[in-house]
Amino acid sequence: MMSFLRTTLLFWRTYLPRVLRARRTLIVALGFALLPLIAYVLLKVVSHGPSPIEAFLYPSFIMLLSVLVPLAAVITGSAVISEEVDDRTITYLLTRPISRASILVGRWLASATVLLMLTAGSVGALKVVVESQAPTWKKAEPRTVEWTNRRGEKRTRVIDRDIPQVFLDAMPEGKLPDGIFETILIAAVLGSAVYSALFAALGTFNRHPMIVGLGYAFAIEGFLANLPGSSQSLTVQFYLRSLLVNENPELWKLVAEAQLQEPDPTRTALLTLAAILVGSLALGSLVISRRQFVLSA
Amino acid sequence: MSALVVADKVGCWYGQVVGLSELTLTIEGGITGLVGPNGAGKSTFLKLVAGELRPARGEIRVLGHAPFANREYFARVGFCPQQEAIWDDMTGLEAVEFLMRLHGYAPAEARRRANAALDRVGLLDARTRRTGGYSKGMRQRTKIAQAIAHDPELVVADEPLNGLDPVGRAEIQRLFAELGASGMNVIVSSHVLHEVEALTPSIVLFHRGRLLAQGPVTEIRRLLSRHPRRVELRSRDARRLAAALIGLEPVSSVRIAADGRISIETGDVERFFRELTALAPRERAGIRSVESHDANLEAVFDYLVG
Repeated sequence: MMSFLRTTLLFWRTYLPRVLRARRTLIVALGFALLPLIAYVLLKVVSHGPSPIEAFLYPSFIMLLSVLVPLAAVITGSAVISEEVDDRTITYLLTRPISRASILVGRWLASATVLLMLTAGSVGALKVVVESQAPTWKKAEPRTVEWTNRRGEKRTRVIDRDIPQVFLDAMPEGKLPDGIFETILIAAVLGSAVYSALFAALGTFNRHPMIVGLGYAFAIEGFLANLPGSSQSLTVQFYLRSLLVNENPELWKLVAEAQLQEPDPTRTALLTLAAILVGSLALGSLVISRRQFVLSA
Repeated sequence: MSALVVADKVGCWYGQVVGLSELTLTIEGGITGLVGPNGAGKSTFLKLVAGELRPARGEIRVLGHAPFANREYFARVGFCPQQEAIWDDMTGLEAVEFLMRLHGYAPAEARRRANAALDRVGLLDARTRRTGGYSKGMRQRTKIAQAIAHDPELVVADEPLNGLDPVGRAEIQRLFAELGASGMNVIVSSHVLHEVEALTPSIVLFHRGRLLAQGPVTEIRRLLSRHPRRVELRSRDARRLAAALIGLEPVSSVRIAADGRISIETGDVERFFRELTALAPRERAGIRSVESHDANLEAVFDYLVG
């Protein structure tokens, strides 16, 4: 009988190329590709759009952490066990002399590896796009638009955008401020790992983990994470946002101020995220070790 | 020799549906065939034997183990499940080799065993093709290969002949016979009696989640042939044939329909067919077709259950 670690490694090695080839990986990759694309459009196409640092911070905060990471984690994490159940191939794995927990952990590791690569690639591409556009970016001059309304009266409007000085001063040499890229990278990668572990565990006891996972990520977390008050600390989002705000408070607070209650210290946030990850995998391992999977022929 | 499988008042339910009910059964070593119509409980029983399910009531022991989630037991058993599924994006060789790695074999040994097993089931040439492109029969062979590649003491095969052409069936039946002859224990299920009969004289009959009968196939056949059966015949000269059929001892009634079909009832179908074979050339009635409509297992089993 193989040890847990050896079996886990075998699952990881066997499933890594399969996850890379999977259609859902392509869908997730396309989703992550939107992040640098949106930053490019904001800086290059939108007149009176955001400054380069804003084009980095807002997509990272609103799109990456709140939408892309949970969504990608639902798509990849929920498939870890439910794919074997839906394909009715789990029988071959459950009737082998191995620890059942290694099926969950090994398959999750393969999915998480790919997810983390995509997440890191997306954040890296965002950095490249923002830093490549920053040297040529200039705040647009105010523009006056004139028009005549239906009653024949002349109207004017000044189009301008008030950008906080801290944002305008943030990238004097076209480079992101120290630590900002690393912080968002760590938060996104941790978020991907934690969410995917959570949804992988969900797949061990729920027949439709993707539907339940989507409901959790966007209905429950989406609501609680943006509700003022201590209920935010019930969400993964809160701890990810805490990491950001603690490391670069002067920038992130402007972005996250409306959403965030007083952040937890970095150490507490990291420990809580680690506890959710380990706890999810432990719970999933316990369930898969005891549960019988009833498959139709 | 101690019993291979001992089931004691085993019950298993799928929600409100009964899979097995109060099943008490002992299976000795060698090749054993499980027979019963669809929904009889064969697959549920085999899943319990294979350790995929655990009984809701009672106890089952196989090779001295409680099978469910028992790693020590899984090293000694090979399971060929009923479902066709196998990883579509893997080749037959990759799939079997991966499963052998899960048995703890080193990469080279796992590959050697996978190749040998695929060769044994006649799939050596197709082993490097993705299973997604396999026919139903090839998938069936791959499933059998993964069940025997680690030389288990017991092979549990659920409807392993499904999807195979007649030549394939004969080959796999021969393979199971060889496994049995080599000392491996085999439990194989089918809803077709003669398929199992070709493999082993030791039969277990299931019906509606219960054990119906267990014993040598000759005894079971005798039971089955007593089932009153309706046989329909078409011939060139229906009246002449009907008159001849009335004279046969196993025939209890003969009717001729308006379209010329002859419908007979018999209490001993085997004897009827024997006598019909002798009668047909003698009477020159030009028999065009013979159909036994209620010869399916469901009807026979319903009769046996009473």
